[in-house]
Amino acid sequence: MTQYIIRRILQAFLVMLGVTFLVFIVMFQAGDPVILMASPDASAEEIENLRRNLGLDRPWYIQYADFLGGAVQGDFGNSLRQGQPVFNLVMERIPATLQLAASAFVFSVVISIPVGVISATRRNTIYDNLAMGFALLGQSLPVFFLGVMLIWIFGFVFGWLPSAGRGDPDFVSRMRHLILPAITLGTFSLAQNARLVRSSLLEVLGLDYVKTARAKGISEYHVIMRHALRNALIPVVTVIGIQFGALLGGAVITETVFAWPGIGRLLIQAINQQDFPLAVGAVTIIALIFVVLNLIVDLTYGFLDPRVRYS
Amino acid sequence: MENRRSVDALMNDVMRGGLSRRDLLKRAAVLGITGPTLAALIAACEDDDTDDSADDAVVDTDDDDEPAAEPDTDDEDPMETDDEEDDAEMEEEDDAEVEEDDDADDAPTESEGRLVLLQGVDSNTLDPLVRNSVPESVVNRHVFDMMTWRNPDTLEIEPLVVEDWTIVDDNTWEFKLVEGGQFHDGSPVNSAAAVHTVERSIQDTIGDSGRVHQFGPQNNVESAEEVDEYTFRINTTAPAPIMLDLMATFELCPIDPYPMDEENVDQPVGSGKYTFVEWVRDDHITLEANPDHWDGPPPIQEIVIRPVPEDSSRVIALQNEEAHIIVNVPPELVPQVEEADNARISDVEGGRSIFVGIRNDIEPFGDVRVRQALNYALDFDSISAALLEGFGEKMRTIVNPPNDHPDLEAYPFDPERARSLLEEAGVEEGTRVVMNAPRGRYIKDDEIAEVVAQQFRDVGFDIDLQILDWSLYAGELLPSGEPDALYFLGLGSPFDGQSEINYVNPDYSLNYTRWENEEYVELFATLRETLDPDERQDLMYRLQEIIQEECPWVFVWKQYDFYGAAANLEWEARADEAIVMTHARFTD
Repeated sequence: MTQYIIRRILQAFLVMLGVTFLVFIVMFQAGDPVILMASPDASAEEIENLRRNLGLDRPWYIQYADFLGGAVQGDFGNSLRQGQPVFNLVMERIPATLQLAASAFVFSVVISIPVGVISATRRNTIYDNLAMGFALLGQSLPVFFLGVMLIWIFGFVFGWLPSAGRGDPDFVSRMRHLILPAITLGTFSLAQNARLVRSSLLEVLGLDYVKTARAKGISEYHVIMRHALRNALIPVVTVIGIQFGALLGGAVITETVFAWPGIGRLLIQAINQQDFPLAVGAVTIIALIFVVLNLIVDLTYGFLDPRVRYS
Repeated sequence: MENRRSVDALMNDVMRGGLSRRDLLKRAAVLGITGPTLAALIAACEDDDTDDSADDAVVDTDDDDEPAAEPDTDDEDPMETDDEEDDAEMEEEDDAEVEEDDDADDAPTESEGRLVLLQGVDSNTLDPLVRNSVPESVVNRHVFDMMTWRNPDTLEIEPLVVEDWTIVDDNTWEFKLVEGGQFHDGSPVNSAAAVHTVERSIQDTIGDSGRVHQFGPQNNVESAEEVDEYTFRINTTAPAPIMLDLMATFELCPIDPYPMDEENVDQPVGSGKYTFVEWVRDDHITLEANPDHWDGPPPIQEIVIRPVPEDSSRVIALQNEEAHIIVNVPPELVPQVEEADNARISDVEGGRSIFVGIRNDIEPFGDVRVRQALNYALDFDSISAALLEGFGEKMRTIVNPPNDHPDLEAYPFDPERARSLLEEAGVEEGTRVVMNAPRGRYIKDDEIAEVVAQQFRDVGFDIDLQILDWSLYAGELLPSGEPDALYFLGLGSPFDGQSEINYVNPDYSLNYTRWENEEYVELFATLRETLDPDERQDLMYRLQEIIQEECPWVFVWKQYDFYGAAANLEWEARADEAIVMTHARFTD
């Protein structure tokens, strides 16, 4: 087990090294932030001074080594544009992103399971066709397009819901502002889950133990809810777990469309402004969260199932 | 009770003397006292034999009654013309005072309501000396008092917290601050704070921040010194004729919250009409009315500034009454806002010059006829009709009001003339030219560039248009100093004349044209050191004529700014991109 843990930690470390290296190189090649920062009438000398003050005149590998040295101590540097520690800026936005991702997650799960069940139990009926039609649509629509359409319909045409921001601190305002982005972000996984629940349930419904249950005279409701669905949800739960990470990633676009003040929007803003330390630091911290979560899951698997740690 | 004490204090000051009429009227306006009431109060406080003069002091606008503290008008004074200008200013100020007095009945005694402004992006820093974008200055000009202020109608500089100024000599300006002002941390608005502000601004860096000069050595500012409690001087290494223009975008800061070597990113403390409440990054900035402002409280109690990057989201928020002012309404959404019952468009020709720079060192553009041909080839009306909902006009001159040459006309659209000029210059049909353009920085930048390129093709050029995202355009192409023969760009938005003319100065960092003209260089050097307004105007007019004739650019347009505003909000857009809400008010 110890060897397994060490191996997994080393792998996680390598993943982090790869992520930071790639992001660093990409951002390094993306352009010169100093020009965007300097005032339009700054002289060449002033621009050069600014570059030197920011340490951007050094070779990339020195800057990278400097970044790594700081990162392992929890210091990701300061944002070039905001002058604040990158770590603080990212942490400030995590609650908003988690709130959005969690809401989208709940929306997706709460809707997708009944829809999948209805589709499977009423196979080839109008309900099934409608549900799967919407599921296909939900999976096909790009997030930004769906977001803009929802804003147009519910924000502009009906004027029911706000279209941007997180709202005022009161509960009602926060909830009203959350609805459209959560639906936008959760729709893709909702569609995916509904299809998965349907196919998984159909498969289970054809198994012998379900036939036995029916032969014993148990009501169809109990057959599905107590016997079939519980087993059909096993692969769904696995996928849903992975999806939560994808929701965090997908929040980048949704947050931009809905002006949601989370990590995704911070990242886009950092890239647009060529805020080199903020972009690299934000990606690193997000990647670190993923890697740590995955590491914990892997270690838990290893703990629970000996076959994993010996494979 | 507080108000009564303030009235008593005012009367005591009047009786003691030494209070200028301007100060008297301002303080009276703050207290909601109108001219006749004030006259009656003074009359009641004075002896009978002085009653008449007291009335005069209030209602008479004759300069003869001005306190004797004005600048010396000795004939031998080298700054005679400036003194004359001061006199003229005082006359104008007197007129303004009468208007202020008339308006005093409307001056709010308390603030109410909540105004939500949606901008495209959030601020990065609210430190006045490190800020580098319009959205940041929008926040700051409410929390801080700018030293001076640009009149939105005339675009002329007018007093604000700096209520008076004098040019002492070529390298010394003297400024007088309003009396009775207070920063939000309780410290007084005085010359010590002003000197600290200037000295902080002329450092190379502030802490670890990438310092962006706003008021430093590049503007010849060398040092500042206190003269008395409310008077300070700025010393320059060379004449600084645009000093007052610089002061219009220069925030007065208190001492303690703004250490010399430390950036104050997110806790702004000023003396402005609004106090800072909170900043939740990427979500909102909240400001609250300052009831103790020296010029009286603003009409609106609370301002919330939110960043919303999506244009359409901002428009929808305005129509849903979630916002009251929104920036950058795309031209195609202007009709939608105009049709709404609860919203309107406030549009203004801004000060940002959009142009196609011409590399004079790349053939055939060294020939002025070729450059003129490109200007004749540009049909802005069709661009306006197709892309800008009919808004905008072809650029007449690179200088913004109030210094623009009144007699200059834009190059007319004349493709025949363009072709004949190209023929005269020996330019062959199908000459290949690379043109660069950005995407995502200016209104419809890439689309306008596409049409412009086609119009150049129509007169015989083979234009290879290369469009880059703004980050690459500004981050790589321009810093290389080597854009291709034609490059699309926008610069703005100063209003002092000199800064606009500087755009084509060979030494200007964003001028890639390599255009050289001896007369321009000579006259521009003179302009930079000339303080006399009349001489400056003559020089600026002549320089504009040279630029128009020589056309180092293809003059496209002055970008229009479209704002959306709630129908029940009294507020108008300004040409200088400043969103000023200190005087906005709801009509219901």
